[in-house]
Amino acid sequence: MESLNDLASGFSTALTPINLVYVVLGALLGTAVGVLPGLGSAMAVALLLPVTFALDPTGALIMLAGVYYGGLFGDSITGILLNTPGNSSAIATTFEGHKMALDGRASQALATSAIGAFTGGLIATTVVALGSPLFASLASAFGPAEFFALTAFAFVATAFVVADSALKGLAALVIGFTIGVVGIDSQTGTVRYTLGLPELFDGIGVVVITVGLLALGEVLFVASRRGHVGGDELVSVRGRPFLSRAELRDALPAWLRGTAFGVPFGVIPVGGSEVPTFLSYGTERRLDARRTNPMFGRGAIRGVAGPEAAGNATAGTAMGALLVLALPTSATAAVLLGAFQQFGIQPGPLIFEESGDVAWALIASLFVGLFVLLVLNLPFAPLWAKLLLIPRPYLYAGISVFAGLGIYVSAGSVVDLWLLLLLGLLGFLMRRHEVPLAPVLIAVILGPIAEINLRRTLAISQGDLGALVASPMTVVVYALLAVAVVLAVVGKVRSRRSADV
Amino acid sequence: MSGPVPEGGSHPVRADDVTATDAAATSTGRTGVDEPPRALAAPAPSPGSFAMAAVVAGFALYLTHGLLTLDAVEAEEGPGPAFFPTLIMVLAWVVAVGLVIDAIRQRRTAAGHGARPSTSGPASPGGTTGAQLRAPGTAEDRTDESAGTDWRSVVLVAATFAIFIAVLEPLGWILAGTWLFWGAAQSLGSRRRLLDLGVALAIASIVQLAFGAGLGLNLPAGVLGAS
Repeated sequence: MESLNDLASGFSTALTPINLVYVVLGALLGTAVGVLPGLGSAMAVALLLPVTFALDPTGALIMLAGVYYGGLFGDSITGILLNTPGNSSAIATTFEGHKMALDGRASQALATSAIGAFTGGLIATTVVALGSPLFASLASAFGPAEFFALTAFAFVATAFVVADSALKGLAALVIGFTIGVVGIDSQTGTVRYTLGLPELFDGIGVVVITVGLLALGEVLFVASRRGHVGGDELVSVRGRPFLSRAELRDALPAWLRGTAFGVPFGVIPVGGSEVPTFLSYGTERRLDARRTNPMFGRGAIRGVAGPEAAGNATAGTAMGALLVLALPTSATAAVLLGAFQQFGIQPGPLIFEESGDVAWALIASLFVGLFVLLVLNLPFAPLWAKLLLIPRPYLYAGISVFAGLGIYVSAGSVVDLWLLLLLGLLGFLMRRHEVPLAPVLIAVILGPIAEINLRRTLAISQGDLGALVASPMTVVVYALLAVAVVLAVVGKVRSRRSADV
Repeated sequence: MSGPVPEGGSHPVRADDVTATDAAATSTGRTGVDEPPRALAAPAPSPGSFAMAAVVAGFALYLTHGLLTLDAVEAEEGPGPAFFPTLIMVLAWVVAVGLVIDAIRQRRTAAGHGARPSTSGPASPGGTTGAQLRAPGTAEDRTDESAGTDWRSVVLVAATFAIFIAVLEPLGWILAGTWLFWGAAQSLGSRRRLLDLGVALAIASIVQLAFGAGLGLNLPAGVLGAS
């Protein structure tokens, strides 16, 4: 149980007063951004990343861990009280959650969702803490061909599973690949796609790309829809924020089933927690229909408990995949991977040997963050909802200011701000035409990694393409890819059928 | 899914469509309490829009141009720096052509039936999960709100940001930041000019204090930083 010792030392780092402050601060900021409609944890991490540059790497990553989970806790508050999910990961929770709120059980819905997010996150983080050293030693045998297979897996899965149509997913990938090849080729030193601008020699920063596409793009998108925004009616919250024993008994199996859906999906790159949350929602709905007194449609507590646990469980194991395989399975994870690299930490099989102290401190802070978030969310959820009273023009003006500020202080140059504006316009166009943004981020981050590994593989094999599928591991990855795509498509067809209300 | 829409001259009619985008969680319009989450709504571009095809073609052109002007240092062994860009260039052109064909097809369907085809129809290998989970009938409820894209606001926000970039270094953070907040709030529909100005100045100043003085990040002082 060496990993338990490592985890203990991680806790001793995470529980120092200053790092505790960072976790709480991250959890507060993450929840706040999560509560606001349209802003998810990917944007929370991207907007707050420049701020963390002023901290040491450990403190910065600890704060980002709080932000990461905080965004997921916050997004369901808006969904339950306003019928407007804070993020796509909360859509499934919103269906029954808002009905519960209308039924006068808003505080119970909020408590169910907070405990669900906590349960899912806790189990998944435990899996990561105990499993990732083992996984890392397995993955340390990976060569370039295996890593290329993993990146190919991520590309195909995100393009085909996340996207509305495969063509749009591919379009998003192409955009991401193109942005990713800008800069000096690391293997030969060739300057590529810079238009001769020295500012582009190091490539386009991940922060500029995420803040541009997600934050500024969202502001422009909201601007394009002025006049669509109507009066929002917030359901008021009364009564005890805790669950009765009967409610706990009702919700517990759904929390666990939701977690079971979420844990495996964290390591499958299908763009985040949408698929597992909907799978969980569909399952709870089917199980509910068999009961003598079906609750779905009237505010079923299980319809909140399942998806919420699934969403956070996905985020938990996604962190494991990120640390051990350097494989981002969602947009948020892609941004986090960029953050790791900015701090000079290279995730991968060797992370526990090369940056073990930071990695364990991060895992420990994930645990700490979950407890902090439970405390912040269980009694105070109605207070968080007050954030929705900020007038929308101020909210989005504030996001613009933060986007401009963050990019300027992290790059210190006006060139990056112009890039930010261009990327914001691109993000707006993509939103307008329903092209998913997650594949862009994954392609930007993984594109260069895929390129290096592909070229290394072909260099070793002297151009023989068979080397790409020579090892059993690569065959397994490509086979899993086929299975994952089939399963996801089947699952979607199923949820489509079961949801025809 | 949406009902038949009358034809309107040569320009294709913009019918409303409610399709989930990845995280477009902004609400639309007034809605009854019994509706599914409003975040699923996105403004509908006209059927068969060529905009995305043009964007991807632009990226493909950039890839092609970069390849033609590439001053490659050849690798000692294995594929060189042009290898991967060539692959994605081919993919980019294929996708661009595919999007054009898709747009033409959608336009034809729209003209033929007088209604906009669903973007997540049976031809696509599965739409966003959220799209399928909405209850039927929401599209009709929302048809009257399909005012389309407010291009004026988009241009105003983008222009505000461009001016912010231009004046940031000469005028300094406080003035440029105040302008950005005020301009963006105005473009987004706030009507209280003076109050907004006060809020904007306060926010820019707090940022200057917290990030400049507090975290020691480098913000330009500009004309106000004469001392």
